[in-house]
Amino acid sequence: MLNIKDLQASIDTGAGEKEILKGLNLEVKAGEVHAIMGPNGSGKSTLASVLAGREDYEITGGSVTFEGKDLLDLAPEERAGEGVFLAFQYPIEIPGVSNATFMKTAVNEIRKYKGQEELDAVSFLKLMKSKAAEMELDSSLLTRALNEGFSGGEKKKNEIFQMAMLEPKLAILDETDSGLDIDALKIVANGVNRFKNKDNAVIVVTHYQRLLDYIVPDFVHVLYKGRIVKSGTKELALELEAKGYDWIKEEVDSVTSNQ
Amino acid sequence: MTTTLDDIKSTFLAPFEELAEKVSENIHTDKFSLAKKTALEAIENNIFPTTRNEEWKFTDIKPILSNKFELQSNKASSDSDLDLNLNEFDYFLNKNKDLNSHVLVFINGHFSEKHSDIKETGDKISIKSLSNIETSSSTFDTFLDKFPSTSDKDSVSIFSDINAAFATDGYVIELAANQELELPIFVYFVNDASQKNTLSQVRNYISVGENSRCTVVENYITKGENPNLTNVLTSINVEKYANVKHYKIQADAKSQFQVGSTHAKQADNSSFTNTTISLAGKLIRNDLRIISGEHCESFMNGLYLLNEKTHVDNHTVIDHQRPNSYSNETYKGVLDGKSRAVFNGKIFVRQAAQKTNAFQSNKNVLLSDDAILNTKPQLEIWADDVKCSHGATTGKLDEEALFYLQARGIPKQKAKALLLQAFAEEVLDSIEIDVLKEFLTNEIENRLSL
Repeated sequence: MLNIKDLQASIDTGAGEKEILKGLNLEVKAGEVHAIMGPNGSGKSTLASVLAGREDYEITGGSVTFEGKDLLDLAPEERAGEGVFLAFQYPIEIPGVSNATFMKTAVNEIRKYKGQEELDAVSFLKLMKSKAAEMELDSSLLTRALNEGFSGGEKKKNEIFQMAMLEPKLAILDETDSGLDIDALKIVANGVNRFKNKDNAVIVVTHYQRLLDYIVPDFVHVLYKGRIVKSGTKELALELEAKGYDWIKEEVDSVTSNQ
Repeated sequence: MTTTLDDIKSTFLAPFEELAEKVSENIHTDKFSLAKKTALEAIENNIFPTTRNEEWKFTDIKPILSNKFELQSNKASSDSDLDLNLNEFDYFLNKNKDLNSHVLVFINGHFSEKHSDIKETGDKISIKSLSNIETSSSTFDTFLDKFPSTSDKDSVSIFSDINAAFATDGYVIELAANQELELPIFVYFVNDASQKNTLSQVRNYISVGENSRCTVVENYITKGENPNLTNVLTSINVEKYANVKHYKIQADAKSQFQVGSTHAKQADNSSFTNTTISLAGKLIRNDLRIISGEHCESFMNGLYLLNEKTHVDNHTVIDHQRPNSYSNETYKGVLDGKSRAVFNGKIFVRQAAQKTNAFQSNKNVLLSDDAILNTKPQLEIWADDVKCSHGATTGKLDEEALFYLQARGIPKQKAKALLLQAFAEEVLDSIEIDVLKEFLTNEIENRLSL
């Protein structure tokens, strides 16, 4: 489904280009859940942003293929149309645009992109209500301005609600667990588990193992200094939780200095 | 040889000379014609403001003055000569007629009986054109006494004097006490600039008696590509406990110049709202001045959505002269292309006006690097127990918000339109006339999806 080869990306810091991804490789197949972990500043959020098409980053090398298409060639809205979904680490507050209007526009734009007919008001409302109920999202949040004045937990639930509405092929969850209490964490994880099936895939970007108790990954990758330096199964996440990231840093840094 | 300001003045005023003589000959002892006399003298002595004048610092009126405008002194041009299909540019005229609203149409500054539709009102409500009123009568003298002065040097420019001296027509609305007009009065100022440069000058009066209510919507429509100047002066008297809403909709041709002043005076416990929406035109200058009594509410709402080379200048003044009043001003703007907007909002709180609450905000979104905004809030407060705030913001469209919408599959143009509509919503929400709100929402939607 997703094939990332030797991906290099940098950002203009104002004081010059800073390379953040330095040759990243990753393959995600349908039906899989991948966790990407790593210390702060390792490039986790950059990877999520680059996949969604944020323009702040410059791709300096490598390739990303999604379902056979060159993902890097597509505008953010086209990527969404193709089935890529990013759950934002910091969902944006947009005053004046109601959650429902936003969702209806998004659902129908994606349907248009796929060549499907737009949903009529009644079917849309029905769909929205059932998905909101699944996410235990208070129905008053649907008529309110998008994310405006939502609590941290409500914002994250709203992200997963949007994912359920848009039914992407690939969902990238960027630190969705940050700022969630245990109840909200479970609701979010249940939402993801309901969504997951053999035809789609999930990438969970996280600093902590906590969320992975509920969304069980098939693969765990450790990102450090812009590369995936270690891959394993869910046991790797537990090991990281117990031992921290220092041992991995040391391992990588000693290899680099020996070269 | 350089062109001096005097040369410009004489060029611009040349067509008026003959008319000035006629006006002079017809001056009697009534207040209306005496005001013309005062205005004629003022024109002699006044010069057109340059950008050295603080009130006109960012608005250069040379583009207006460099045109020679044809005076529309001939009444015949209003009804018959024009091949006007009002439906062609009308968005809700017919709807309003269906609604049973009063509709007044002026063409090139003259009332058009044919296109207007004034219903039977009884003797407590009077809706007329100035040309159908005996202005030299003592009744009209008494009527004029109700309005705030427009010859106060702070509040007017030479354009107001030119209007006072040469206005050809206008509307005169008078409600006695305890009258409620359920439906808005729609006034259309239509200009035909298809053949020649036209100048329309209208003088309007709204007087609303104690405990009465009315809404007036002024629409400006220009047909044709030639330069057209509309010079409008509207005076409003709001009696105790009365409620008046006054709208100005400027969705005009690109070649349109407009200079307009609105002066309102509020008696105690009254409410007044002015909403000014500017969507197109070449150069527009709006002056709004409100004098507020005790326990009054005053609302000033503005929205300007500009592109190409449109220049819109909004100057507003709220003058709190008595205690315990509230005013709220919200002006919002979206600037694209090489457009320019000027906002100057003055709040005066006089010594006697204790416990005044006055709020002002001017927010702008710049869509292009070539657009220019000049904003200047000005608070002058003499009283010590007041709550006043003001704020101005100018920025680009929020890139983060744009990316968020795009990441959900919404194409960039549409995402922009959504965000800008949300931005304008605050002002649109304050509009209580459904057809008008609908029209403006559509207009904005069309504009933004360009």
